[in-house]
Amino acid sequence: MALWGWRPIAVACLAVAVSGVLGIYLFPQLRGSRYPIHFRDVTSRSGITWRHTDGSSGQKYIVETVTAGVATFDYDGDGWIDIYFLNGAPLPGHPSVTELSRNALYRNLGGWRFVDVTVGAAVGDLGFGLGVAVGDYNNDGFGDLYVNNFGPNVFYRNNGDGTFSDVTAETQLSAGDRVGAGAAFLDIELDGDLDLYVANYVQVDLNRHPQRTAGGFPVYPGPMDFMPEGDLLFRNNGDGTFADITAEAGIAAYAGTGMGMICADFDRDADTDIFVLNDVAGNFIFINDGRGHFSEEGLRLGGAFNADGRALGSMGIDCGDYDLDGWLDFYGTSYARELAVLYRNLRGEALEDVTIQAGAGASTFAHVTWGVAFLDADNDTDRDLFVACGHLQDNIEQFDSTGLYEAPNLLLENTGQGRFADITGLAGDGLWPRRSSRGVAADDLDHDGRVDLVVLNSRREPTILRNDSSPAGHWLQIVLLGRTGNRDAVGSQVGVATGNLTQWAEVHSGRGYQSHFGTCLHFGVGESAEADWIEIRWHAGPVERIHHIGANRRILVVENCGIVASWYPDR
Amino acid sequence: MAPEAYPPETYNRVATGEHADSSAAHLLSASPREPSGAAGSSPRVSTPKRPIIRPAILVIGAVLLLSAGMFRLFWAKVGNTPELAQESAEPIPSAISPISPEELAGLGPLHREAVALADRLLADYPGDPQAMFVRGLILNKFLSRDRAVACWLECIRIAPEMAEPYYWIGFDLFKRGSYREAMERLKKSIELGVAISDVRVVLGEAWINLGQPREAVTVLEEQIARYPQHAAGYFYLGHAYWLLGELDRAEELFTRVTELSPNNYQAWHSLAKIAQKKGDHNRAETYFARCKVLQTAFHEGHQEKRRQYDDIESLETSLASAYTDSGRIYLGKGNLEQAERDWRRAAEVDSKHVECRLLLADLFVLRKDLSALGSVIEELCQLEPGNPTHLMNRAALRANLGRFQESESDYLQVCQLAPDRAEGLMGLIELYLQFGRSPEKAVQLAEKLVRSHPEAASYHLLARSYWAAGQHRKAIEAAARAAELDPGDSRYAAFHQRLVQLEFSGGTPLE
Repeated sequence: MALWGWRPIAVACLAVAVSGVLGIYLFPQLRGSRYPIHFRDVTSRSGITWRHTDGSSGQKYIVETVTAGVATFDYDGDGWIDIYFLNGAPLPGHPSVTELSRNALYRNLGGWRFVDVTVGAAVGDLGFGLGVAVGDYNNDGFGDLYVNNFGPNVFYRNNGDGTFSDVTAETQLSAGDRVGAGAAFLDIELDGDLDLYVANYVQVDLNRHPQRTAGGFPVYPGPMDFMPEGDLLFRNNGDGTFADITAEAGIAAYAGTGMGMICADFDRDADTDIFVLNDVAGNFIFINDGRGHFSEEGLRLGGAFNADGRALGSMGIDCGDYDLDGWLDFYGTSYARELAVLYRNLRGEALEDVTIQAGAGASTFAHVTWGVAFLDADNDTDRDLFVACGHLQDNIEQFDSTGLYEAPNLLLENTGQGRFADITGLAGDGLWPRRSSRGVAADDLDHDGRVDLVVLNSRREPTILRNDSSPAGHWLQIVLLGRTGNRDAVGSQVGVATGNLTQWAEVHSGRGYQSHFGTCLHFGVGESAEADWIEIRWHAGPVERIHHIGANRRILVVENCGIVASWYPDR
Repeated sequence: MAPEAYPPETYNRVATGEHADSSAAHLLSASPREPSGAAGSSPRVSTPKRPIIRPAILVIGAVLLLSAGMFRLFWAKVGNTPELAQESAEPIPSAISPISPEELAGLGPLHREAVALADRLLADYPGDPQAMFVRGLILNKFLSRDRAVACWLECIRIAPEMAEPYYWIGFDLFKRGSYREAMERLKKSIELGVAISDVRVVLGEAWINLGQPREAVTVLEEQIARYPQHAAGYFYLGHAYWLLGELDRAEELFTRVTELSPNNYQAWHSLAKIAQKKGDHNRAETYFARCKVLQTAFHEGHQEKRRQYDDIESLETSLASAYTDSGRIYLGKGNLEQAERDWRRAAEVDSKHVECRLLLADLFVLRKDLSALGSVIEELCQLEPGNPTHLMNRAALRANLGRFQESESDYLQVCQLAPDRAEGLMGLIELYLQFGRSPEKAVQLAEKLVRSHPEAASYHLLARSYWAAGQHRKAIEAAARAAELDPGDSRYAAFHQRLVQLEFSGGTPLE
């Protein structure tokens, strides 16, 4: 007692207090954190052995730099979200041109066990994969898979029995033999079936590919070394075929260097608009007139450039209502020495770059940023941001040592006052790996009510991040099934009210960096044990409101039928 | 990112153990340590409890410090914080060690040559801050940023008053997104009077990116006051005011950008946004349309530039600049031979490099080597045929060599190229007077000169021309006018007096 009397205890208490003060001083972002966010890297134990290749051989073909996206969706209807990885393919000069660098579908068996079902499911396309989107084009209840390649694109119909069929020719979707980018299904004219927008990048001829050097070192050329490639819009004819309506829909007049894209009802006029990011060129915002005809208004609406009026090296885009004002905001990633951009939606009348005011960009400046996901990582009712990073020049350190080819990904926590804080260094070992990441998908892979992450890394194995945030807030997951509109309810918006807060989200097909995720809408509801109400604005359908929904479960809502099923993670 | 959230002052204190020292000092003053086993050696008597508390405090203190250090290391690792030594008593090894063969692996001949130059500077002037600074610049371009930063840190160590290294380290940190650390260095460079025009722009941009536009305003207002013709300062200041919601001031500044740089599509975009925010949609539409046209033109121009860009040529230019800077170091140390060799090599490496040729010209003037001077001026005239300064130099040299006609032709070309400036006319008049040719023409030109530039020097030349043409009364009047216009320069008054005397006594007044 003499040794450990009251004084050492007092001193220890003091030390703890000092540590606390020191910690808060050194890490101011800790101050607003009610739920600590923690991601764990579980790649090695997941059973996923697939590796990405960009098909490179030192020729520095531009397409190597932009592959690829990733999709998370429940392909077999078993309730578990599965993963589909896109792969590059050997390009001329590659030592093993016969190597099978195929896409891979991993079935989620639960418990963080995944099994490669690519061969059985027949989705192992060997093309040079770039972008992917999932949509139930024939409304049969199973998500179909569109792969946007460098070269011929592929459309897989989900047979509903765990297998897919290549229906590219049959559906008349074989037009996309270009350098693809993002893709998305949307119902452009509210007729209840999903149409398809296919973004394209640049016109590349590998036989006449420009050679570039920087500081004497060979480097990849940029989009400005090529002509831009026009995008494509296909209308679903409702009979199992699509028709190219790019020109008649008003899209053909614009050729951009398309990258990531997202379709969302930006102005809440009940039809779906299209936001396409262009690399070092003004972004496109195609506003839908409700009948499937579009006008390009990116510049007027403030989404073409950033606040400086600069055309960024744009990469990926996601949307989410970060400030809980009921309007979908957008976050676009970009090149190094540029801030990624947070566009605040000004009640559908314009977008305003509020990156600086919101603190949502500063940590992105040093990196090339790619995949992005708005996710409520700690279920505290607001959307955080996960941003994938990594330079596209694999030898960047040779001629610009302020750049990093393999960089840490970033996690920006929404602190609740319309501001973000970079908590990358505090969010667990999942944020430690340095990779050259590309596509990102965010979904709850283990049914624990926390959104996990899948990151596709160029030339490497992917990173699977389990969300171990604990304690986290309560949550609610909503799966929609449309009846008048498309069955996946793509384009439908859902509001979840808890107390005086209402969160809005929309069902998307194709988002982030040429990726697909989040068909099952996830809402963190913080301390609330139930949602006061949820409102569903069915796409091409009615508005429906359901009251008093208990939290911590996944619900299936069928249009005009209310909740028809619930799943609880612990039952 | 991490560095922003991490006040460096705190880290430095912790890392250098200042806290530990002060804690220890406090403990010692409160309770002096007893040497063990030396009872009686100190007049003080210690209480039995203190030695027990002290280790506890020290242990906890050490744990705290260790934790803070580990946190910092961890933070640096995940946050990619460049670890920059602040001050060091010893030379920084990676600054003063020659480049190893391993570091040279994979480098091309131009890189190797540059690195060898950097090593030569180190070998010839070890411990010299200017040489170390140039070594840093060369290594930054041709080898590695880490080596370069080490050199600049070494500069700061040996010459803390040198501003440029702070700027370069700051700029490097800025590019990495480490704004707070960058700003510290940039501010220091300003404090030390760095002669780089965009330092405040970088600092302002860093404040803006950190979300602190008010601070950006302070530094950018200073920028536009110092560099009123530079558009960048106005642009970022406009952006800072936009962020602060002061739309009128922002509009004023973006308008100024469009005046200084009419093709700046970003400024038109900003003006459109302001108009939109003010509800003036017609004006917004007009500005957006202008922005679109200019952006398209910019895009196409940029594409064309990329097509034209030759990376090897650009590297050669960089190497030539390295030799040029190196030559300056040798000149400063009085080693004119090495300076000349470096500048000659620069000219050889980059056949279009102007700066090294200008320095060579200065050197040849100093040496009175007119033949070498003639060739280098000839090269400069070929490289920049529209540059009146080179033509003036060539004209003067040719006049000096007695080549009247060629010199006259150069001066006439200068008059054509820069009709608003006096130099060409003055040179031409001097030429006529020097060679005693066409005094009437000299008078005619001098009359023209005083009409366009009614200054003392012009009237002085007019006086000389009149005198040469035999119009003495007019010469005296013109000389009087020159003396009147610049009474501070006694030569004009003396000349006037001399003319007056000569008018009565006869003789030549020419200086």
